[in-house]
Amino acid sequence: MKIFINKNNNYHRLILGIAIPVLGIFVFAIFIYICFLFIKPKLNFLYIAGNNNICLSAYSVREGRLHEGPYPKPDNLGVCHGKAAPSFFVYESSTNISKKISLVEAENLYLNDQPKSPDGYQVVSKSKYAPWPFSLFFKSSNNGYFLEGPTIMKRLYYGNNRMVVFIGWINY
Amino acid sequence: MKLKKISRKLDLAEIIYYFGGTIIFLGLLTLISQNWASFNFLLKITFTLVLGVILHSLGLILKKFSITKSISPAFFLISALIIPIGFYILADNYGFDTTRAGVQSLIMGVLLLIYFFLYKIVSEKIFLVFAIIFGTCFLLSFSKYALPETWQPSLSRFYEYVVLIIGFIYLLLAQLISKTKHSFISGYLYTFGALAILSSALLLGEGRAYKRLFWDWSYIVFIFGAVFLSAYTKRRSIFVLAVIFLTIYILKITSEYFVKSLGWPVALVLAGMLIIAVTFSCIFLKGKYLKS
Repeated sequence: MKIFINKNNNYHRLILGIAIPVLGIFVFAIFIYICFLFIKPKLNFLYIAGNNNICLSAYSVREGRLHEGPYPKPDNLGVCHGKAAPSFFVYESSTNISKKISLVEAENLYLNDQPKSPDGYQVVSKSKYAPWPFSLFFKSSNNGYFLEGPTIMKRLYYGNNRMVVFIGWINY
Repeated sequence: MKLKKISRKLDLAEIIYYFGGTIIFLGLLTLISQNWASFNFLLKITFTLVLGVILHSLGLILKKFSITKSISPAFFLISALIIPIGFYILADNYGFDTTRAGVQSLIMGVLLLIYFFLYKIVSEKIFLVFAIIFGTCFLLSFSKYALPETWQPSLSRFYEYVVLIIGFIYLLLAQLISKTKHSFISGYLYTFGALAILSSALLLGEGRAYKRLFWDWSYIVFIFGAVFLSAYTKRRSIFVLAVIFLTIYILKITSEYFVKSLGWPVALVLAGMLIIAVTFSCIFLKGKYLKS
Protein backbone atom coordinates (compact mmCIF):
# COMPACT_ATOMS: atom_id res chain seq x y z
CA MET A 1 0.00 0.00 0.00
CA LYS A 2 2.92 2.27 0.79
CA ILE A 3 4.08 2.18 -2.83
CA PHE A 4 0.92 4.07 -3.90
CA ILE A 5 1.12 6.70 -1.20
CA ASN A 6 4.81 7.44 -1.52
CA LYS A 7 5.11 10.95 -2.92
CA ASN A 8 8.44 10.20 -4.56
CA ASN A 9 6.98 7.85 -7.12
CA ASN A 10 4.20 8.92 -9.48
CA TYR A 11 2.24 5.67 -9.67
CA HIS A 12 -0.33 6.87 -7.18
CA ARG A 13 -1.00 9.86 -9.45
CA LEU A 14 -1.44 7.56 -12.45
CA ILE A 15 -3.82 5.27 -10.59
CA LEU A 16 -5.79 8.15 -9.10
CA GLY A 17 -5.82 9.92 -12.48
CA ILE A 18 -7.48 6.90 -14.08
CA ALA A 19 -9.71 6.16 -11.10
CA ILE A 20 -11.26 9.65 -10.84
CA PRO A 21 -13.10 9.70 -14.21
CA VAL A 22 -14.11 6.03 -13.80
CA LEU A 23 -15.46 6.77 -10.32
CA GLY A 24 -17.22 9.91 -11.62
CA ILE A 25 -18.91 7.92 -14.38
CA PHE A 26 -20.03 5.24 -11.92
CA VAL A 27 -21.39 7.78 -9.44
CA PHE A 28 -23.27 9.57 -12.23
CA ALA A 29 -24.65 6.28 -13.66
CA ILE A 30 -25.84 5.13 -10.23
CA PHE A 31 -27.38 8.53 -9.46
CA ILE A 32 -29.18 8.62 -12.82
CA TYR A 33 -30.44 5.06 -12.26
CA ILE A 34 -31.75 5.90 -8.77
CA CYS A 35 -33.49 8.99 -10.19
CA PHE A 36 -34.94 6.79 -12.95
CA LEU A 37 -36.39 4.48 -10.30
CA PHE A 38 -38.00 7.30 -8.35
CA ILE A 39 -39.02 9.83 -11.01
CA LYS A 40 -42.21 8.35 -12.42
CA PRO A 41 -45.93 9.18 -12.43
CA LYS A 42 -47.86 8.38 -9.29
CA LEU A 43 -50.80 6.93 -11.25
CA ASN A 44 -50.98 4.02 -13.69
CA PHE A 45 -52.66 4.73 -17.02
CA LEU A 46 -54.45 2.91 -19.80
CA TYR A 47 -53.58 3.35 -23.46
CA ILE A 48 -54.45 1.51 -26.64
CA ALA A 49 -52.27 0.80 -29.62
CA GLY A 50 -53.15 -0.32 -33.13
CA ASN A 51 -52.89 0.42 -36.82
CA ASN A 52 -56.50 1.30 -37.64
CA ASN A 53 -57.44 4.87 -36.86
CA ILE A 54 -61.22 4.19 -36.82
CA CYS A 55 -60.84 1.36 -34.31
CA LEU A 56 -58.61 3.43 -32.03
CA SER A 57 -60.85 6.50 -32.04
CA ALA A 58 -63.88 4.41 -31.07
CA TYR A 59 -62.67 4.10 -27.48
CA SER A 60 -63.29 6.81 -24.92
CA VAL A 61 -64.07 7.30 -21.22
CA ARG A 62 -67.69 7.74 -20.15
CA GLU A 63 -68.67 8.04 -16.49
CA GLY A 64 -65.24 6.78 -15.44
CA ARG A 65 -65.35 3.60 -17.55
CA LEU A 66 -63.96 2.54 -20.91
CA HIS A 67 -66.61 2.98 -23.58
CA GLU A 68 -66.60 1.54 -27.09
CA GLY A 69 -68.31 3.07 -30.14
CA PRO A 70 -70.30 4.24 -31.93
CA TYR A 71 -68.57 3.32 -35.18
CA PRO A 72 -69.06 5.36 -38.39
CA LYS A 73 -70.14 2.23 -40.37
CA PRO A 74 -71.84 -0.96 -39.06
CA ASP A 75 -69.13 -3.27 -40.47
CA ASN A 76 -66.42 -1.37 -38.51
CA LEU A 77 -67.37 -3.28 -35.35
CA GLY A 78 -66.50 -6.62 -36.91
CA VAL A 79 -63.22 -5.33 -38.30
CA CYS A 80 -62.22 -3.73 -34.98
CA HIS A 81 -62.95 -6.92 -33.06
CA GLY A 82 -61.13 -9.05 -35.58
CA LYS A 83 -57.95 -8.38 -37.53
CA ALA A 84 -57.65 -4.69 -36.60
CA ALA A 85 -58.42 -5.14 -32.89
CA PRO A 86 -56.34 -2.66 -30.84
CA SER A 87 -54.09 -3.82 -28.02
CA PHE A 88 -54.74 -2.53 -24.49
CA PHE A 89 -51.82 -1.57 -22.30
CA VAL A 90 -51.54 -0.47 -18.69
CA TYR A 91 -48.43 1.47 -17.77
CA GLU A 92 -47.50 0.43 -14.25
CA SER A 93 -45.71 3.25 -12.51
CA SER A 94 -44.31 0.99 -9.77
CA THR A 95 -42.24 -0.98 -12.28
CA ASN A 96 -41.99 1.59 -15.12
CA ILE A 97 -43.21 -1.16 -17.49
CA SER A 98 -46.23 -1.43 -19.81
CA LYS A 99 -48.35 -4.55 -19.39
CA LYS A 100 -50.74 -5.85 -22.04
CA ILE A 101 -54.30 -6.51 -20.80
CA SER A 102 -57.55 -7.77 -22.34
CA LEU A 103 -60.59 -5.64 -23.31
CA VAL A 104 -62.57 -7.15 -20.40
CA GLU A 105 -59.85 -6.18 -17.91
CA ALA A 106 -59.71 -2.68 -19.39
CA GLU A 107 -63.49 -2.30 -19.03
CA ASN A 108 -63.22 -3.01 -15.32
CA LEU A 109 -60.91 -0.06 -14.65
CA TYR A 110 -61.99 3.29 -13.17
CA LEU A 111 -60.56 5.95 -15.42
CA ASN A 112 -59.94 9.68 -15.48
CA ASP A 113 -59.55 10.97 -19.05
CA GLN A 114 -57.70 14.20 -18.19
CA PRO A 115 -54.71 14.21 -20.58
CA LYS A 116 -52.31 15.47 -17.90
CA SER A 117 -51.91 13.74 -14.54
CA PRO A 118 -51.92 15.85 -11.33
CA ASP A 119 -48.13 15.34 -11.08
CA GLY A 120 -47.55 16.72 -14.59
CA TYR A 121 -47.21 13.63 -16.80
CA GLN A 122 -48.84 13.09 -20.22
CA VAL A 123 -48.62 10.86 -23.26
CA VAL A 124 -47.32 12.75 -26.29
CA SER A 125 -46.65 11.91 -29.90
CA LYS A 126 -43.47 13.58 -31.07
CA SER A 127 -40.21 13.31 -32.89
CA LYS A 128 -37.48 12.78 -30.40
CA TYR A 129 -34.18 13.96 -31.74
CA ALA A 130 -30.83 12.63 -30.68
CA PRO A 131 -29.67 14.51 -27.58
CA TRP A 132 -27.36 17.48 -27.74
CA PRO A 133 -24.72 17.72 -29.26
CA PHE A 134 -25.69 15.09 -31.87
CA SER A 135 -28.76 17.14 -32.77
CA LEU A 136 -26.44 19.97 -33.88
CA PHE A 137 -25.06 17.86 -36.72
CA PHE A 138 -27.82 15.49 -37.78
CA LYS A 139 -31.50 15.68 -37.06
CA SER A 140 -31.92 11.92 -36.81
CA SER A 141 -35.27 11.65 -35.12
CA ASN A 142 -37.01 8.86 -33.34
CA ASN A 143 -40.74 9.30 -34.00
CA GLY A 144 -43.10 7.76 -31.54
CA TYR A 145 -45.21 8.03 -28.43
CA PHE A 146 -43.62 9.06 -25.19
CA LEU A 147 -44.53 9.53 -21.56
CA GLU A 148 -43.43 13.09 -20.89
CA GLY A 149 -43.01 14.45 -17.38
CA PRO A 150 -41.32 17.36 -15.65
CA THR A 151 -37.84 15.90 -16.29
CA ILE A 152 -38.33 12.72 -18.27
CA MET A 153 -39.41 11.65 -21.74
CA LYS A 154 -39.69 7.87 -21.86
CA ARG A 155 -40.66 5.93 -24.97
CA LEU A 156 -43.84 3.90 -24.45
CA TYR A 157 -44.00 0.26 -25.40
CA TYR A 158 -46.58 -0.47 -28.08
CA GLY A 159 -45.20 -3.47 -29.95
CA ASN A 160 -45.46 -3.40 -33.72
CA ASN A 161 -48.38 -0.98 -33.71
CA ARG A 162 -48.07 2.40 -35.40
CA MET A 163 -50.52 4.50 -33.38
CA VAL A 164 -51.22 5.04 -29.71
CA VAL A 165 -54.25 6.64 -28.05
CA PHE A 166 -54.19 7.64 -24.40
CA ILE A 167 -57.41 6.59 -22.65
CA GLY A 168 -57.09 7.64 -19.02
CA TRP A 169 -55.40 7.62 -15.65
CA ILE A 170 -56.47 4.70 -13.48
CA ASN A 171 -58.24 5.56 -10.22
CA TYR A 172 -58.36 2.95 -7.49
CA MET B 1 17.26 32.64 -27.25
CA LYS B 2 17.72 29.06 -28.41
CA LEU B 3 15.53 27.84 -25.56
CA LYS B 4 12.78 30.24 -26.58
CA LYS B 5 12.83 28.91 -30.13
CA ILE B 6 12.50 25.31 -28.92
CA SER B 7 9.65 26.29 -26.65
CA ARG B 8 7.85 27.98 -29.56
CA LYS B 9 8.25 24.89 -31.71
CA LEU B 10 6.79 22.78 -28.95
CA ASP B 11 3.88 25.17 -28.61
CA LEU B 12 3.17 24.86 -32.31
CA ALA B 13 3.37 21.07 -32.06
CA GLU B 14 0.97 21.19 -29.14
CA ILE B 15 -1.47 23.32 -31.15
CA ILE B 16 -1.31 20.81 -34.02
CA TYR B 17 -1.91 17.95 -31.56
CA TYR B 18 -4.95 19.77 -30.21
CA PHE B 19 -6.16 20.41 -33.75
CA GLY B 20 -5.78 16.73 -34.57
CA GLY B 21 -7.58 15.79 -31.37
CA THR B 22 -10.49 18.10 -32.21
CA ILE B 23 -10.78 16.54 -35.69
CA ILE B 24 -10.86 13.05 -34.15
CA PHE B 25 -13.59 14.24 -31.79
CA LEU B 26 -15.62 15.69 -34.68
CA GLY B 27 -15.21 12.41 -36.56
CA LEU B 28 -16.53 10.43 -33.60
CA LEU B 29 -19.39 12.85 -33.12
CA THR B 30 -20.38 12.55 -36.79
CA LEU B 31 -20.14 8.76 -36.66
CA ILE B 32 -22.51 8.51 -33.71
CA SER B 33 -24.86 11.22 -35.05
CA GLN B 34 -25.17 9.52 -38.45
CA ASN B 35 -25.84 6.14 -36.86
CA TRP B 36 -27.86 7.37 -33.89
CA ALA B 37 -30.87 5.21 -34.77
CA SER B 38 -28.87 2.08 -35.72
CA PHE B 39 -26.28 2.09 -32.91
CA ASN B 40 -27.50 0.48 -29.70
CA PHE B 41 -26.86 1.90 -26.24
CA LEU B 42 -23.82 -0.30 -25.61
CA LEU B 43 -22.13 0.79 -28.82
CA LYS B 44 -22.82 4.48 -28.12
CA ILE B 45 -21.37 4.14 -24.63
CA THR B 46 -18.34 2.28 -25.99
CA PHE B 47 -17.62 5.08 -28.47
CA THR B 48 -17.91 7.75 -25.80
CA LEU B 49 -17.43 6.83 -22.14
CA VAL B 50 -15.31 3.69 -22.57
CA LEU B 51 -13.18 5.21 -25.34
CA GLY B 52 -12.91 8.44 -23.33
CA VAL B 53 -11.55 6.62 -20.27
CA ILE B 54 -9.16 4.54 -22.42
CA LEU B 55 -7.78 7.67 -24.16
CA HIS B 56 -7.52 9.47 -20.82
CA SER B 57 -5.57 6.55 -19.32
CA LEU B 58 -3.37 6.38 -22.41
CA GLY B 59 -2.68 10.10 -22.05
CA LEU B 60 -1.64 9.60 -18.44
CA ILE B 61 0.69 6.74 -19.37
CA LEU B 62 2.21 8.70 -22.28
CA LYS B 63 2.76 11.64 -19.93
CA LYS B 64 5.16 9.52 -17.87
CA PHE B 65 7.66 9.18 -20.72
CA SER B 66 9.68 12.19 -21.81
CA ILE B 67 9.48 11.27 -25.54
CA THR B 68 5.68 10.98 -25.60
CA LYS B 69 4.91 13.57 -22.92
CA SER B 70 4.09 16.34 -25.41
CA ILE B 71 1.44 14.24 -27.19
CA SER B 72 -0.50 13.41 -24.00
CA PRO B 73 -2.61 16.65 -23.95
CA ALA B 74 -4.13 15.63 -27.31
CA PHE B 75 -5.42 12.42 -25.69
CA PHE B 76 -6.71 14.40 -22.71
CA LEU B 77 -8.48 16.79 -25.08
CA ILE B 78 -10.31 14.03 -27.00
CA SER B 79 -11.33 12.27 -23.77
CA ALA B 80 -12.51 15.56 -22.19
CA LEU B 81 -14.66 16.20 -25.26
CA ILE B 82 -16.20 12.74 -25.60
CA ILE B 83 -16.76 11.86 -21.93
CA PRO B 84 -19.45 14.61 -21.51
CA ILE B 85 -21.25 13.20 -24.58
CA GLY B 86 -21.26 9.82 -22.91
CA PHE B 87 -22.93 11.40 -19.88
CA TYR B 88 -25.65 12.82 -22.15
CA ILE B 89 -26.17 9.39 -23.78
CA LEU B 90 -26.40 7.76 -20.35
CA ALA B 91 -29.02 10.26 -19.14
CA ASP B 92 -30.94 10.02 -22.43
CA ASN B 93 -31.02 6.23 -22.21
CA TYR B 94 -32.85 6.40 -18.87
CA GLY B 95 -35.43 8.69 -20.42
CA PHE B 96 -34.16 11.96 -19.00
CA ASP B 97 -34.73 15.01 -21.16
CA THR B 98 -31.17 16.27 -21.65
CA THR B 99 -32.33 19.71 -22.76
CA ARG B 100 -33.62 20.40 -19.21
CA ALA B 101 -31.49 22.65 -17.03
CA GLY B 102 -31.63 20.22 -14.07
CA VAL B 103 -30.11 17.34 -16.06
CA GLN B 104 -27.52 19.62 -17.66
CA SER B 105 -26.44 21.09 -14.33
CA LEU B 106 -26.08 17.58 -12.88
CA ILE B 107 -23.86 16.50 -15.80
CA MET B 108 -21.78 19.67 -15.67
CA GLY B 109 -21.47 19.49 -11.86
CA VAL B 110 -20.08 15.94 -12.00
CA LEU B 111 -17.69 16.90 -14.83
CA LEU B 112 -16.53 19.95 -12.88
CA LEU B 113 -15.69 17.75 -9.87
CA ILE B 114 -13.92 15.14 -12.02
CA TYR B 115 -11.72 17.70 -13.80
CA PHE B 116 -11.04 19.74 -10.67
CA PHE B 117 -9.74 16.66 -8.83
CA LEU B 118 -7.80 15.55 -11.91
CA TYR B 119 -6.10 18.95 -12.02
CA LYS B 120 -5.32 18.74 -8.31
CA ILE B 121 -3.73 15.29 -8.70
CA VAL B 122 -2.16 15.29 -12.16
CA SER B 123 -1.55 19.07 -12.40
CA GLU B 124 -2.05 19.16 -16.18
CA LYS B 125 -3.12 22.56 -17.58
CA ILE B 126 -5.78 21.11 -19.91
CA PHE B 127 -7.66 19.70 -16.89
CA LEU B 128 -7.77 23.17 -15.38
CA VAL B 129 -9.09 24.62 -18.65
CA PHE B 130 -11.85 21.99 -18.78
CA ALA B 131 -12.66 22.45 -15.08
CA ILE B 132 -13.21 26.16 -15.82
CA ILE B 133 -15.32 25.40 -18.94
CA PHE B 134 -17.49 22.84 -17.12
CA GLY B 135 -17.74 25.16 -14.11
CA THR B 136 -19.04 27.95 -16.34
CA CYS B 137 -21.56 25.60 -17.97
CA PHE B 138 -22.61 24.42 -14.50
CA LEU B 139 -23.21 28.01 -13.32
CA LEU B 140 -25.27 28.83 -16.42
CA SER B 141 -27.41 25.68 -16.29
CA PHE B 142 -27.82 25.63 -12.52
CA SER B 143 -28.88 29.29 -12.41
CA LYS B 144 -31.58 28.48 -15.00
CA TYR B 145 -32.64 25.44 -12.97
CA ALA B 146 -32.80 27.42 -9.73
CA LEU B 147 -34.78 30.26 -11.31
CA PRO B 148 -38.46 30.14 -10.26
CA GLU B 149 -40.88 29.30 -13.07
CA THR B 150 -42.56 32.71 -12.80
CA TRP B 151 -39.25 34.39 -13.62
CA GLN B 152 -38.57 32.24 -16.72
CA PRO B 153 -39.87 34.89 -19.17
CA SER B 154 -37.10 37.26 -18.03
CA LEU B 155 -34.44 34.56 -18.47
CA SER B 156 -32.26 36.59 -20.85
CA ARG B 157 -32.13 39.48 -18.34
CA PHE B 158 -31.27 36.98 -15.59
CA TYR B 159 -28.44 35.57 -17.71
CA GLU B 160 -26.95 39.05 -18.04
CA TYR B 161 -26.52 39.12 -14.24
CA VAL B 162 -25.14 35.55 -14.26
CA VAL B 163 -22.57 36.44 -16.97
CA LEU B 164 -21.60 39.51 -14.92
CA ILE B 165 -20.98 37.27 -11.88
CA ILE B 166 -19.07 34.75 -14.05
CA GLY B 167 -16.86 37.63 -15.24
CA PHE B 168 -15.95 38.52 -11.64
CA ILE B 169 -15.33 34.82 -10.83
CA TYR B 170 -12.95 34.64 -13.82
CA LEU B 171 -11.02 37.65 -12.51
CA LEU B 172 -10.77 36.05 -9.07
CA LEU B 173 -9.64 32.73 -10.59
CA ALA B 174 -7.11 34.57 -12.77
CA GLN B 175 -5.63 36.17 -9.66
CA LEU B 176 -5.39 32.78 -7.93
CA ILE B 177 -3.95 30.96 -10.96
CA SER B 178 -1.38 33.69 -11.63
CA LYS B 179 0.56 32.39 -8.63
CA THR B 180 0.71 28.81 -9.95
CA LYS B 181 2.88 27.27 -12.69
CA HIS B 182 -0.02 27.57 -15.15
CA SER B 183 -0.03 31.36 -14.87
CA PHE B 184 -0.47 31.83 -18.64
CA ILE B 185 -4.11 30.69 -18.26
CA SER B 186 -4.71 33.65 -15.96
CA GLY B 187 -4.08 36.02 -18.90
CA TYR B 188 -6.94 34.46 -20.87
CA LEU B 189 -9.13 34.46 -17.77
CA TYR B 190 -8.52 38.17 -17.22
CA THR B 191 -9.47 38.90 -20.84
CA PHE B 192 -12.58 36.70 -20.87
CA GLY B 193 -13.58 38.00 -17.44
CA ALA B 194 -13.29 41.62 -18.60
CA LEU B 195 -15.23 40.77 -21.79
CA ALA B 196 -18.02 39.10 -19.76
CA ILE B 197 -18.29 42.04 -17.34
CA LEU B 198 -18.18 44.79 -19.96
CA SER B 199 -20.65 43.13 -22.34
CA SER B 200 -23.18 42.08 -19.68
CA ALA B 201 -23.05 45.46 -17.89
CA LEU B 202 -23.67 47.19 -21.22
CA LEU B 203 -26.67 44.96 -21.91
CA LEU B 204 -28.01 45.57 -18.40
CA GLY B 205 -28.42 49.22 -19.38
CA GLU B 206 -31.49 48.24 -21.43
CA GLY B 207 -35.04 47.94 -20.14
CA ARG B 208 -36.90 49.95 -17.54
CA ALA B 209 -35.97 53.62 -17.10
CA TYR B 210 -34.70 53.54 -13.49
CA LYS B 211 -32.59 50.43 -14.08
CA ARG B 212 -31.27 51.88 -17.33
CA LEU B 213 -30.24 55.07 -15.55
CA PHE B 214 -28.35 53.13 -12.84
CA TRP B 215 -26.50 50.79 -15.21
CA ASP B 216 -25.81 53.48 -17.82
CA TRP B 217 -24.07 55.75 -15.34
CA SER B 218 -22.35 53.03 -13.36
CA TYR B 219 -20.91 51.63 -16.60
CA ILE B 220 -18.21 54.26 -16.55
CA VAL B 221 -16.90 52.61 -13.35
CA PHE B 222 -16.57 49.29 -15.20
CA ILE B 223 -14.67 51.01 -18.04
CA PHE B 224 -12.21 52.65 -15.64
CA GLY B 225 -11.96 49.33 -13.78
CA ALA B 226 -10.99 47.60 -17.04
CA VAL B 227 -8.37 50.27 -17.82
CA PHE B 228 -6.94 49.87 -14.30
CA LEU B 229 -6.95 46.07 -14.69
CA SER B 230 -5.10 46.29 -18.01
CA ALA B 231 -2.40 48.47 -16.36
CA TYR B 232 -2.25 46.13 -13.33
CA THR B 233 -2.00 42.92 -15.36
CA LYS B 234 -0.07 44.51 -18.29
CA ARG B 235 -2.56 42.99 -20.72
CA ARG B 236 -3.19 44.94 -23.89
CA SER B 237 -6.22 42.82 -24.83
CA ILE B 238 -8.16 44.15 -21.81
CA PHE B 239 -7.15 47.68 -22.76
CA VAL B 240 -8.39 47.16 -26.33
CA LEU B 241 -11.65 45.76 -24.95
CA ALA B 242 -12.06 48.78 -22.68
CA VAL B 243 -11.57 51.15 -25.64
CA ILE B 244 -14.02 49.24 -27.87
CA PHE B 245 -16.68 49.13 -25.15
CA LEU B 246 -16.11 52.80 -24.29
CA THR B 247 -16.73 53.70 -27.94
CA ILE B 248 -19.95 51.64 -27.97
CA TYR B 249 -20.94 53.25 -24.66
CA ILE B 250 -20.42 56.78 -26.02
CA LEU B 251 -22.58 56.00 -29.05
CA LYS B 252 -25.24 54.41 -26.84
CA ILE B 253 -25.37 57.31 -24.38
CA THR B 254 -25.46 59.84 -27.22
CA SER B 255 -28.37 58.10 -28.95
CA GLU B 256 -30.28 57.59 -25.68
CA TYR B 257 -29.91 60.97 -23.96
CA PHE B 258 -28.74 63.62 -26.45
CA VAL B 259 -30.45 62.86 -29.75
CA LYS B 260 -33.83 64.23 -28.63
CA SER B 261 -32.43 67.46 -27.20
CA LEU B 262 -29.59 68.17 -29.65
CA GLY B 263 -30.76 66.29 -32.74
CA TRP B 264 -28.84 63.60 -34.65
CA PRO B 265 -26.28 65.84 -36.47
CA VAL B 266 -25.00 67.64 -33.35
CA ALA B 267 -25.13 64.42 -31.29
CA LEU B 268 -23.00 62.63 -33.89
CA VAL B 269 -20.45 65.48 -33.92
CA LEU B 270 -20.32 65.31 -30.11
CA ALA B 271 -19.92 61.52 -30.12
CA GLY B 272 -17.17 61.71 -32.77
CA MET B 273 -15.25 64.31 -30.76
CA LEU B 274 -15.54 62.23 -27.61
CA ILE B 275 -14.31 59.10 -29.42
CA ILE B 276 -11.28 61.01 -30.79
CA ALA B 277 -10.51 62.34 -27.29
CA VAL B 278 -10.84 58.87 -25.78
CA THR B 279 -8.62 57.28 -28.45
CA PHE B 280 -5.96 59.96 -27.92
CA SER B 281 -6.02 59.43 -24.14
CA CYS B 282 -5.82 55.69 -24.69
CA ILE B 283 -2.75 55.91 -26.92
CA PHE B 284 -1.14 58.15 -24.29
CA LEU B 285 -2.03 55.71 -21.47
CA LYS B 286 -0.93 52.69 -23.49
CA GLY B 287 2.47 54.25 -24.12
CA LYS B 288 2.85 55.15 -20.46
CA TYR B 289 1.55 52.09 -18.60
CA LEU B 290 1.49 49.16 -21.00
CA LYS B 291 5.09 49.12 -22.17
CA SER B 292 6.32 45.57 -22.02
